[in-house]
Amino acid sequence: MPTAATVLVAGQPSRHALRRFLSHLFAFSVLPGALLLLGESVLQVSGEAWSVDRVFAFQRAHPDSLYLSGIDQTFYAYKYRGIVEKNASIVVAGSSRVMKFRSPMFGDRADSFYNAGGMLNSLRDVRDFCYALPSSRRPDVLLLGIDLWWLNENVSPVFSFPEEIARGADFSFDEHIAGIRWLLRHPGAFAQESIALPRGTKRMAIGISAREKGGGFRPDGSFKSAWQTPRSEKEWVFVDRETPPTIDRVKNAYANFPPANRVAPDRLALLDSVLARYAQNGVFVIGYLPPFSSEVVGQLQVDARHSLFWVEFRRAMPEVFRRHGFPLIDASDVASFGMDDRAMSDGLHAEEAFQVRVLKALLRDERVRAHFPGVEAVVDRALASPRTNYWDADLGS
Amino acid sequence: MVFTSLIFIVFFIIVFGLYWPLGKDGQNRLIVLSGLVFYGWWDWRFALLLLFTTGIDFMVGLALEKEEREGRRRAWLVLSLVTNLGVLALFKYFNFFSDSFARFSGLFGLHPSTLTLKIVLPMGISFYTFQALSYTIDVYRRQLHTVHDPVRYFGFILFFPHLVAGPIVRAKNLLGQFNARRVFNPATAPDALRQMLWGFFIKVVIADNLAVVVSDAYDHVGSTSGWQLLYATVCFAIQIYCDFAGYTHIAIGCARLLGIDLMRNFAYPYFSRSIPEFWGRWHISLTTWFREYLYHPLGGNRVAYRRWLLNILIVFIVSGFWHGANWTFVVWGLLHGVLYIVYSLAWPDSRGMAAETPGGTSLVPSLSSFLQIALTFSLTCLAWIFFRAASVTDGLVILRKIASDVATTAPAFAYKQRAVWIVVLFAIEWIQRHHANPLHVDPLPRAVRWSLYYAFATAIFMFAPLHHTPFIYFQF
Repeated sequence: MPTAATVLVAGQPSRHALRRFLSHLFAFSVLPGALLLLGESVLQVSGEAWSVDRVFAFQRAHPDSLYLSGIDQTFYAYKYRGIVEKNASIVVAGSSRVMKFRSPMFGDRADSFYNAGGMLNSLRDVRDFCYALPSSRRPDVLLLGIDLWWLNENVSPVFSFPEEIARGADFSFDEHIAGIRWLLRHPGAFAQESIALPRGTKRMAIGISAREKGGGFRPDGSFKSAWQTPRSEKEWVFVDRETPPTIDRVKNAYANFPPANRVAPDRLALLDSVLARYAQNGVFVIGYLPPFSSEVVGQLQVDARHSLFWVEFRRAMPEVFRRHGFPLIDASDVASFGMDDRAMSDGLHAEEAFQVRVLKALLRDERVRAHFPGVEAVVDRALASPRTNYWDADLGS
Repeated sequence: MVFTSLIFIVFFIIVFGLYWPLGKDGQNRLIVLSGLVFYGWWDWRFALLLLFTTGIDFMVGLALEKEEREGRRRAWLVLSLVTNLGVLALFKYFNFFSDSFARFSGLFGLHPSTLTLKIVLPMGISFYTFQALSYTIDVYRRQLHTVHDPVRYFGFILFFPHLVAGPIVRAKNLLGQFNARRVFNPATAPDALRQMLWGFFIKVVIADNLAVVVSDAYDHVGSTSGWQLLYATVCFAIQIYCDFAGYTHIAIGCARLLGIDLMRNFAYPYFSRSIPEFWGRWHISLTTWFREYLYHPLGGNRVAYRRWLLNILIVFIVSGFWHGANWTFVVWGLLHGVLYIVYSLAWPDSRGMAAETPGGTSLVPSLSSFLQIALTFSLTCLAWIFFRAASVTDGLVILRKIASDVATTAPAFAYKQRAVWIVVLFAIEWIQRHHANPLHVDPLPRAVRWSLYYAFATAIFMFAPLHHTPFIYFQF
């Protein structure tokens, strides 16, 4: 093998050799370079690589737009930014299980509503959110969804609220790489987005998932599901679309359903202290236990690995809210709201029509009615409308 | 600045673009300047330290040339040794000695107040110290002419491709290359790029993906099963090889693109059939340095039999200690020393095996070759346990867990899909083991060659972990 120090090939001037080498290198780089450029263009034009600020600016200008990233959900940063930006007087917060509450449901205060569903995924998040939010952005009413596993001592919090809300200001170099990698792993989406490039950002969907599947976050923070609403009675069958299905997790006691015999005392104490702080700050908190499918509820009741915890959870939650003068609605079982599993798109998530019924039940409480002017009329109209089905509610919009 | 960062790619393109139009002096000046930028990017204060020790060595070289009296010459050499090894001892070993002294005193019920310094280890200090010492020692021995041009001497030390992790090229093999203007050689440039591509591949794809398996097990020894620790140990053997050899391939490739040849540092070490052969294939530049500047001065094998055995042990223990200020490295060196002696006594021919094609010339190795390779690999893994463990006690716990679990339980591993990278590495290396560069594909048609380059580049882009994993050998 020749060595690097070997003097140049006979008769060939060094500059010419260097130029030839560089032209070969350039020719080799054209294909990967073009691919990277195309990938980056897709990230930019689709909105996938947009900062949260830019997404908000777009959604402000386009009230019908939806936002959902395919690569990184950035739930926390996006939702927290939404609360700060909107300075809403009614905020819904919790996991993805509360995302279906929408502004048109809230009558006279519809314009002052924000759904921060997906932003809180543990009681630690609930505490951190309570302390992080500036007093100037504190809502009058907080509808707080509490998930069963938040009180299970064998489920550790995954996210760090302060770190998550700090994200999304800009797209880092690593995130660009991750984005292009994602596109290369999803050649169908990559091709589709590449073909759509000339149309630019005129579409009302920001982010690859929103563009590809059709679902995403509305400007009020609520989530429009990508699932097609069934059209015939035959299609109205309950399907658990979660992966793995919720009932499998419960039966096999894993993921967010590990065995537990009791409500974790330290976590209950943490919730208690957060509620005390909200009471002290004049925020009216409404507790909400979101529903499970009937099969999941049945399994939680009879399975010895869950039953004690399940019973104690449903007893302790109303108690702790009551202690601070706050109401709580236990919507764990869809049947108690006159509906069945068809109200749910999977074992954990109920759709809009169910949330309307939750509001209806909540309005029986005088204190709630006082905070929700005009809601009763919207809810009654929706429930009476023939256009309301198991999933969609006729909210007049 | 690390090779696997975007900033380095930009830096190298700038240096490459500026380098070739320059004449000899300009090229040497650019090497010095780029070396300072490369090193100072991490911490400019340590670049000053590097300039200080390099300046002393340059002056010592000039003094040695003028001085004829042996006593004075020895004094100048001692000045160089004390300066270089003193800085190394202060930054790398001070706390170790201080702590070890306190522990040793504690055995006798004494508790002297000891000083512990909050010191950051300058990157690659062990590498450039040995590089510099090779110059002053060779000038002292009159095996090398003194360099009068400071730019050429500083270029030899500060040449960025090998500045922080070698190869430790001896002065007499490298300085001469700075004597004339380098001329771009189109015959070597593609191979240099291929070598860099291979280096990036084994570093960021193989080493960095296996790093998770290793740290998960070795950082939680108490809660990790014996089988998992065994798997993690094998992964560590591959990780440290791909990390270090990957760096070396990139370094050699960069240097060749700038018209400088660095020595080969790895020659398929895991296909060695014996421990002496392993040491002829692993970190060759360090082994050569120790042979030349420690083993031979101790008398090498031209001494009494027991003294020869002792010389081997000393070299291996010092080599272990060179890697880090921890007893784990000493145990690692000692283990290799003992194994080297056992092999040398039982199989004297094994010391010459490194000159042959690793594992023989046929595509399928003989059963005896295969078993010898497997045994050698297992023994190196045994020693790696102490190299990677946080303490000697941890190393012993790992050994005990592996022994008891492997004997009593069924195999069960996490991260087993990552073993595919080990298979990929061994398959490519075995097929290409006749070439210094495993990505030597010159005889293939261009379409095949380019497809392979694209495949490796895609693998790097798709599988490199996005968090930064520093090169292991930077700490040495």
